[in-house]
Amino acid sequence: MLNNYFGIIKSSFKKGFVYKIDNLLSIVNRIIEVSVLIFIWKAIYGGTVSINGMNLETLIVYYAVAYSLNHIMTWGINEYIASSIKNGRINMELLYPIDYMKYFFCYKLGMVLRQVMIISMPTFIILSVLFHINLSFHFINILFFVLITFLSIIIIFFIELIFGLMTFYTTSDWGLQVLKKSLITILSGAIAPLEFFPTIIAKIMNILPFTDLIYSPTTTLLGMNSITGISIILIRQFIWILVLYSISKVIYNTAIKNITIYGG
Amino acid sequence: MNIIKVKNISKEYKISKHENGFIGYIKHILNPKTETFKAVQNISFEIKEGEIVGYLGENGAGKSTTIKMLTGLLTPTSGEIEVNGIVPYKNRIENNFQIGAVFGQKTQLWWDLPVIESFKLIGSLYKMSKKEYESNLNWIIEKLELQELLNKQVKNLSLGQKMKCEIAATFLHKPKIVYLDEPTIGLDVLVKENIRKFIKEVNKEFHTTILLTTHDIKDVEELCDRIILIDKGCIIYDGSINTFKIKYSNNDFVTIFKKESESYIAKIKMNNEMQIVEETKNYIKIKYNSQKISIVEIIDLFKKYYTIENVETNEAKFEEILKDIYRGHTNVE
Amino acid sequence: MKNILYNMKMYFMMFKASIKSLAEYRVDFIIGIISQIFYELIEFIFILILFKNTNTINGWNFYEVLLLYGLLNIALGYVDLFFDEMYEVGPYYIKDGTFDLIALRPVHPIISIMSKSQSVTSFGYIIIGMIMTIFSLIKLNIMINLQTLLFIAFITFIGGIIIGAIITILCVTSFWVMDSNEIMWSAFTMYKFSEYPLSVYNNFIKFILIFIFPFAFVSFFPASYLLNKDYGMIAFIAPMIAILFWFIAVKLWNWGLKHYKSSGT
Repeated sequence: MLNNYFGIIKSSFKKGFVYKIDNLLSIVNRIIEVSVLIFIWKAIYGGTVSINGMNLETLIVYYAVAYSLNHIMTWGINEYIASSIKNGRINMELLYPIDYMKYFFCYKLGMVLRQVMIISMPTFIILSVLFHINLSFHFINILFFVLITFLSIIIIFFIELIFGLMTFYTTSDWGLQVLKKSLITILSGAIAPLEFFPTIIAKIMNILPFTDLIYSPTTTLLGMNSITGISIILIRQFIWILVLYSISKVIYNTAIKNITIYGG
Repeated sequence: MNIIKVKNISKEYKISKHENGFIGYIKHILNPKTETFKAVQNISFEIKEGEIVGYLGENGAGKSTTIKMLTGLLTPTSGEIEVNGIVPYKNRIENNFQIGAVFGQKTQLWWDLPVIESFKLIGSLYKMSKKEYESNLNWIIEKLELQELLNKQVKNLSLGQKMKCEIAATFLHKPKIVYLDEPTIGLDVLVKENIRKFIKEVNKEFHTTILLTTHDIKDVEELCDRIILIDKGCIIYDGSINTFKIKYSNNDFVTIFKKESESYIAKIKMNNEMQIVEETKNYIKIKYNSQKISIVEIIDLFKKYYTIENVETNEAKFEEILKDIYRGHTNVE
Repeated sequence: MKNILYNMKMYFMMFKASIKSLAEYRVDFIIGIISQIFYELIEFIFILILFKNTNTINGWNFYEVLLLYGLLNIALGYVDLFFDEMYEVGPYYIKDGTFDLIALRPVHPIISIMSKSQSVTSFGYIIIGMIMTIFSLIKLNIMINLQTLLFIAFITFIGGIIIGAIITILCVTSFWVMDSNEIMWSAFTMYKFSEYPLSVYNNFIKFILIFIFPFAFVSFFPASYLLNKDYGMIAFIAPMIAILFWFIAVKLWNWGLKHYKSSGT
């Protein structure tokens, strides 16, 4: 059984290596996104030391980590599922001797491993060099960072599953991807740390699962969270994993019943 | 008048070659290796206006590559092509006005619209006059029996109906040359017959030159006067079907009807060029290589032990000949 | 000339067909609207966040930056309306092989692709963009007369054409690279540059935004003109930039088509 899962992870991992230019450009695009933000904030900070409790240097590291992570959260399996449904491949996938959701989780894992290796890490390294980032992170923070990120990958997996399965009801997978990317970008704290948002919105964001995708791991790595803070994050993540698992299970079961098969 | 002139064309691709695994990936980034794949090697042929030519070969032999060069989608690595005076890959748009193409199951029709809307659009695309459009359309609708399909959306058509509409759309603007790539794949016998009949009629009526690639032997036998056989990028035969059969059939069958019900086969001096396929009380069916041994010689061998009442010969089937060539059992040229 | 007229006529005919097909996909329509609203919301919230912490960005205040966004949005409306389908060329048309039949049509492939656009969000962009633009001009006490409106309508249309040319040029890469998802998203990413005053960036980026990917002509120079800031007159070069880049785009496409490998045997 375990062999099965490992095989899927391996093949999904390998698959992403083929598109070299795509991978290269992902790095370039992430760097562009971060650079624009840093230029803006540099202009805004001017001589000011700290805004909302953060100084410019911390904000720069924040963005560097956030956008390196953002790639994993933005490019996932929802488009793959959507195209599977559109071109009928899903009929084959449903016949695999593996639970559909487990299959896609392994697929996602392979994808994430590759993304971290080829995109996130190089992006972060290049950004560190470009913007002279101080890389001294505490070991404990790094550990918790990894743990929280792992859990957030599970969370984004369920979100992507839901978005992907939505294709059963609409053929607009581009629109769904834009919607997903927009939602994630704003609610995860990618465009700015929660401290910068109006208090009310920040409070709402704290309840939703999205903050834990980027804001929580990033601030943990930067040492901005106490043990209490980290515990709250972990608990919230577990709760959302359960909730999202249930929602996606329901959507999956309903969707399968209404398969619209294209072609003939 | 030769309407298609192909002279010494080749198409080579550089394929990147790299080893499996992670190390292979890294090696490939640092030192990319490529090898050259020769899809088409030095091919030449000419087609007269009004001919229907079958372009045959195994999968991967280079058929599609040739068609794509003829239609201007690919530029040959070397050599020249001229289609009705136009070089297709140099003046693709100009060439597009005079050709039509069917590519397997891909469609040029507008998916969500009724068939007639697609036809109207195509009429405009090819700058047809109203008169021309209507007369061509009516002729085609009648021949392909499309009347009930006109107001249906393309996405709701069955495969056979879609294919007929596809063919209609292709011939609508009365192109001088039409390339049919697997036009009957997956279709039932009735639809196939309808389409074959249509192709023959269009060719007769409008002198349309047709280049047909297909794996359906019956298509070839019914439609083509001439076949070009391509293998591993090279032309191995270019001529009529009948000559082909005569030249390359090495598996003909002869059935000898005998009086005696006992078997004397063990006593017969068999040689390598013949093989007994079936033996019953009444007849023996023999497969033989007509290039190496004649019927008379076979009958001589059997006459010694049997009283021969009747002899039936079965012409080699075109399909069998092709199979043997594909398998490499027959050497061509 | 006759060629151009023919291509334009066919564009409108085929575009009409695409719009008719839209009626089939009502759910997509709603999703399109919703995703667009979110997209706009994010942008707006982000400006709010920025200006919560400062009064000006390099001398541009909140409403002036809002004007930049507004002009960009209107231009994006045109981009969406005409060039939406360019994103699909690599991952769908070429990958599936459907591109071959498009290349065999007597119209130029760019026209065929453009005509397939079924973007419903384009009107959203234009409307939201106009609201932002007019609102900020009012708040800035800039007089809005017929001249102003004509200028805005014209310059944003040209801006859309320029961005369209850039997208079409990037699209040429689809002939070599199949999954050109990230390449096309590059265009998307670069919009961000247009949302802020040019002076924020270093010289290297300024150079790129003016000469290589001339996004500066979409929002910054037009806004500078409307606001009577420096460099405003440069906005009037925009039409020439548009023609130049389209010339490059068509030439590159024709060149790319010749080297197109056409997937499959």
